[in-house]
Amino acid sequence: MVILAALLAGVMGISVSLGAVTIPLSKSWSILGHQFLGLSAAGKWTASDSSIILDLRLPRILSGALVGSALAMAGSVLQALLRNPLADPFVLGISSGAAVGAVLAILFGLGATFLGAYAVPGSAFGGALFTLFLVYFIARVEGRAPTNTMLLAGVIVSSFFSAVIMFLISATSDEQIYNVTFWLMGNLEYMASQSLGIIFLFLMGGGGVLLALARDFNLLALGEETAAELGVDVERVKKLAFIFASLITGAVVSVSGLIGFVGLIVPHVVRMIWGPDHRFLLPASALVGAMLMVVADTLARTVMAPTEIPVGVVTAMGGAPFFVYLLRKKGHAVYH
Amino acid sequence: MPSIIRMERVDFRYPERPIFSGLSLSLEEGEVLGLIGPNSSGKTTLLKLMDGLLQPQRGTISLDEKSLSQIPRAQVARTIAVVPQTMDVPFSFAVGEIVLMGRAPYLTRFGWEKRKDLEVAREAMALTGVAGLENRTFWELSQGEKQRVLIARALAQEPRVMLLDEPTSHLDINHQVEINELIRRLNLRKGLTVLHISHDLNLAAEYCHRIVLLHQGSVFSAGVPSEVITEENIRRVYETKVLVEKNPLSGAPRITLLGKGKIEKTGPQRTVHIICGEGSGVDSARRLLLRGYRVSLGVLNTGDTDQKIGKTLGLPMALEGPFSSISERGMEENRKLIEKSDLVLLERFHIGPGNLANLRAALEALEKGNKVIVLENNLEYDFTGGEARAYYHRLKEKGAVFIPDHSMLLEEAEKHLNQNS
Repeated sequence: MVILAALLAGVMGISVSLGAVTIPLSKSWSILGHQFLGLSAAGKWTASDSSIILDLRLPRILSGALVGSALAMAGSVLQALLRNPLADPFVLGISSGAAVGAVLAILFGLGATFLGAYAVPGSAFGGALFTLFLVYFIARVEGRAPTNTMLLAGVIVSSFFSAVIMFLISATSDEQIYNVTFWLMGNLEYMASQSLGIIFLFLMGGGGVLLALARDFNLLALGEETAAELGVDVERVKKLAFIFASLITGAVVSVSGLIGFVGLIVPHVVRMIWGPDHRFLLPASALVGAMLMVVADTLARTVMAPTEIPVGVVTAMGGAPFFVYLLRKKGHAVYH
Repeated sequence: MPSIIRMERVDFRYPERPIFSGLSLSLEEGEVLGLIGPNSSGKTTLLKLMDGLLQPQRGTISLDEKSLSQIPRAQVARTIAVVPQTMDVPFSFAVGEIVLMGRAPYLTRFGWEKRKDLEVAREAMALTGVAGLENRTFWELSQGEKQRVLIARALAQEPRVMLLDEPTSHLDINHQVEINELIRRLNLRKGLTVLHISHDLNLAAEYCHRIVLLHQGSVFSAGVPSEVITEENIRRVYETKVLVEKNPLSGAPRITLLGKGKIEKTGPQRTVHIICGEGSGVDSARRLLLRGYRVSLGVLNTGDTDQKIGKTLGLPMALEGPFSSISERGMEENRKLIEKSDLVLLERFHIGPGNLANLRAALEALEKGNKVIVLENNLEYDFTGGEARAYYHRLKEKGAVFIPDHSMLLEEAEKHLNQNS
């Protein structure tokens, strides 16, 4: 775990220097050291260098890390709850629901109300939670929601909400379309440092609750009845897990738009390498997810610089083949 | 004996289907209780009620004299462990991890397993014979190994009660015996109280101290195996004819399925009369019946193996009292059966003064023009001072067909009956 954290720090440190303008590592780190550790301004850098690092790249890298870790954790949790390796916030429609919430908030300018910076993440969370209940309600048979119906319902709700988003966009004035569309494709450009703090709080709170339930997820992965026989209060754990997985998903979707594959792939990668114990899987997924997002976003910024590719495109284009590779190589040992 | 789990006047229904009404049952400390009953008689539901996973609509279920629903789940899990039929794990958990999960009821929310937990898990794995498998992935294991791992996990809970839901239904017979022996060992060595749902009545009779037979939502019969597993009870609950005997090795009741007892008559519609005894006629009778022939037997002593089986198969028989010599009355009955038959088969059995008349019957039949097939008999033990040998000699002279063994029986029968027509 320590190694993973160090690795993440390393990846973030390197990506700071990369972008449309490459600022050498030594210079970038001096700027960071000067800013946060009070080190002397040893190297020489211009005000624009400093501004690029501190105002543009650092918040963006941090937001990438937050988004990646939240989606990966939510994915791990949903896969355990539904005992299905295909579950993730995207497939279950939670991401789309959050997006609808966020789009509504943006279009109606809720940010200007008393809610301020909480408006978009808040309504995204609302959308996520609403979707979850909707999916659960659709899938429910005799008081239980079987996994397969839940996934199916998720897919249906997800495509319905995608249509809703398209409708909202088509009904919108021109200048907002570009913003919303680009945001939807998955993008880390627009996260202000103020909302960064809020998202971080959401993530710490939600992630903390989910971590506390990690051992219960192990038992739930063996089946709900088994978990109950081993003393787990199944209904309560499921409720908490769904709510807090939605919370962190909603929070990051509100700032990053729809970024696929992270929530699906990262838990699998971690499981393949370190096994399925959720007490390890959850924090490790968070770190690996953060790393993956930072790398993907760095690629998004640099590959076609100065033009930027939406990061969601990068994760999907890189993630899908990688997933296929893992599946072909080790799949038989990971899925039953 | 004090009861650990007691159910009193329990009513339970699923939204669309009533299961139990007024069910009372108790699980006594230290016993191995077998729960049997036809499919959908509520065995698994009963187990879930006993573990508190389901709540009854009426009545009380108590654990150690306390209401089960009032006891926190983790505490229940420290007393009662459940072993399911199978477990499907979608992720690659290792066997060791699965067994350690049995320690969950003892851990605090953020606590990791300590040395004690590892020791308990290790001992459980040793007891169930899966030590050494801890690093294997659960789904790679064979069914028998999986089942023992599930029992190890249950043992890791250090329970006083273990509820097993048909733990051997997916296993080969060697593993069925193994698991049952394991349960017996755990009961004897660790004083574990066991409730064992079983679909295999013979195994239940063999390994359980007491058996409860469920039928239509209530206890149909309860008691020691020989009281519960009777032909009458099984016939009424399972609507199937069975034969209940005592297992000659263990004395436990042993049942044999008889099916409807009758084999459909759509074949040649020909009758073969078999002269037999000592069980010599059983094989031929079965083979002929399965091919659609009708079969009669004679002359048999009551209590003879052939007679018992002939009776359950509902075959016409010429009978004599137990251990008595064949009388003229028995011979007369036999003649009537031979008259109605199209073919006579003389089986190979020991001949003594008491049943010498059976050879005479065969000879008479031959002399009256019946087709007779004779199993060659070297009369290793001739208790008749040569008379039997003389009968065989005359049978051969008069043209009976001799066959060396049963492999040619059907072919010969077919051939002769076709000539006849």
